[in-house]
Amino acid sequence: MPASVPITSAPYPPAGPSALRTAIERDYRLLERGVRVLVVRMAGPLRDHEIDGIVHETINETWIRAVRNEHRFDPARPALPWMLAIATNVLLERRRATYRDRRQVPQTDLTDEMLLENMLSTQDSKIDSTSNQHAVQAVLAELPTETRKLLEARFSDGLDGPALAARLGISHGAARVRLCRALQQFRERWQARKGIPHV
Amino acid sequence: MSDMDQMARQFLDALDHGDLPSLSWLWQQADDRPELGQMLGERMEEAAREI
Repeated sequence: MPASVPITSAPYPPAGPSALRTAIERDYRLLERGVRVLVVRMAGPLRDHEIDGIVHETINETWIRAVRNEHRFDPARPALPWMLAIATNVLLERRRATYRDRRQVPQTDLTDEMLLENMLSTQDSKIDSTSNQHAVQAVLAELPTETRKLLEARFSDGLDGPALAARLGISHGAARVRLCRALQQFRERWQARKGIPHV
Repeated sequence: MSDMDQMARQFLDALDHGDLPSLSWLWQQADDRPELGQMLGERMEEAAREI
């Protein structure tokens, strides 16, 4: 993905009924860059292939919705803001769906990261109270203060990406590394407490 | 601070905080205002260079 490709797009000349498709094809790479920025900023620490997957799914869904609403597209205007508005809504719906799905997963099936987020991020976590909630708090209490504060900032305060980095006073990349290490520490203690063999 | 400057700041804040509803609203405003779309695109391009 060359850094020299600008995201901004120029207005298109009046065109026929396929103006939207032409615009989408022309702006595909610009849209991809814009969506990638959104995913990286929103999704927190993810592996590259996970980011690629979300980006491609989002672009595909954006394409489908744009074509479905072709009658609302004004070829006299740049297409990119319109498509990025759609893409942003796609990501918003995805985030809501992920949250809903997570709420429906039995606690015993949650990964350690999901468990932490489920226990610490919801206002009504007391309603969902299980022995896991006490276990999570107990494991957190065992962790070094810095590690515990980092996990609470991420999962209790909901800080992510640049916001988490700003809280820690370090770069985004360094914050991701520290978060991975903190999760690893949590995972080891959690597995030990639950009697799960260390993998 | 001009209206455009305010929206630029709002856009960067929303991007930093993962505020998708605000980003969606700003892109919808940009659909009616090409100069705003251009400016947001430039900000997004700056953000793309950082990743």
